[in-house]
Amino acid sequence: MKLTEEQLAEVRIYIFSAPRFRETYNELYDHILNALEEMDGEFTIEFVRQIVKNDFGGFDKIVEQEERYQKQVTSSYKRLLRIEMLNTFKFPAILSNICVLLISIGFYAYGIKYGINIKPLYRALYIISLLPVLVYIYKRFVADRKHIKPSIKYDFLHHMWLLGQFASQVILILFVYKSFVTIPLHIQFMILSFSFFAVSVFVRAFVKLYKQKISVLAV
Amino acid sequence: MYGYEITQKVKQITQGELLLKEGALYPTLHKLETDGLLETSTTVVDNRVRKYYSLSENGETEVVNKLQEAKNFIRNLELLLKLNPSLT
Repeated sequence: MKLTEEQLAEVRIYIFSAPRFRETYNELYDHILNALEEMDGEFTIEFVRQIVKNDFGGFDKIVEQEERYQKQVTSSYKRLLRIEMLNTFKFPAILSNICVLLISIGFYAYGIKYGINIKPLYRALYIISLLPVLVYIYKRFVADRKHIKPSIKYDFLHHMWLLGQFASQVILILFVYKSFVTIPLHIQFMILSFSFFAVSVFVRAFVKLYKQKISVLAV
Repeated sequence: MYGYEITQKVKQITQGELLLKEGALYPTLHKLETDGLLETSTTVVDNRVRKYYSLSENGETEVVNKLQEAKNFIRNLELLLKLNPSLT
């Protein structure tokens, strides 16, 4: 059966509330329409109800599977990010790492010898660690603003910006504002230099993964 | 191929003997996708988004392994079923 626009809208309304993410919704909608196109007779919403129940086991099962899929996607992207971070230590990416490491050592050596105000450096580090936040905000509220349902990939971006913010807040509170711990200056420089290197590896891996996997989302 | 197409293809090849339920198919496809064995792409067909699945490079290697495993299993099953169990 070929559905009219009103009937298509009826199907969309019927299935809209169950799936949380647009990938699941799109796949479910496409499947239902494919199944309806194979059927004969007049359209009623009862057909859709039967397809959802017989083919998928009901909306509860769809939601259950979607939650499982979301966890798998997030876990998969975290694994890919770890692989990308390790790949920065392989040729030719390791050349960039060596440059950053030399700059970090330069920070440390110059800072120890001449003594510099490290607060601007920590603030610069904090700003760099904001990149996943900015990517998340841009992706969710600017690039994808026309989509009503969020993407299943946002959970990974959410984890990444939380991680970045948590790490940078810990660094700021412990070492910049000196609220809790008094640390010798040369240790602070060492921590700063290492953090700069580590954040550089993380950000470069994140950008590569984003370009390859995350920026390409369903139309 | 997309999900519905896969179920119909299996039904056609096995002449209706094997019916893949979507409740089992889609979770499997998603798991294979997150394991890196399947690649996906989407296109717009008739004003709706359709997700296509295809084997990745790792997936093609895994298919060869799994086919060999299946052949070994079927051969062993045939050997077992040909046995005449002794009653003494």
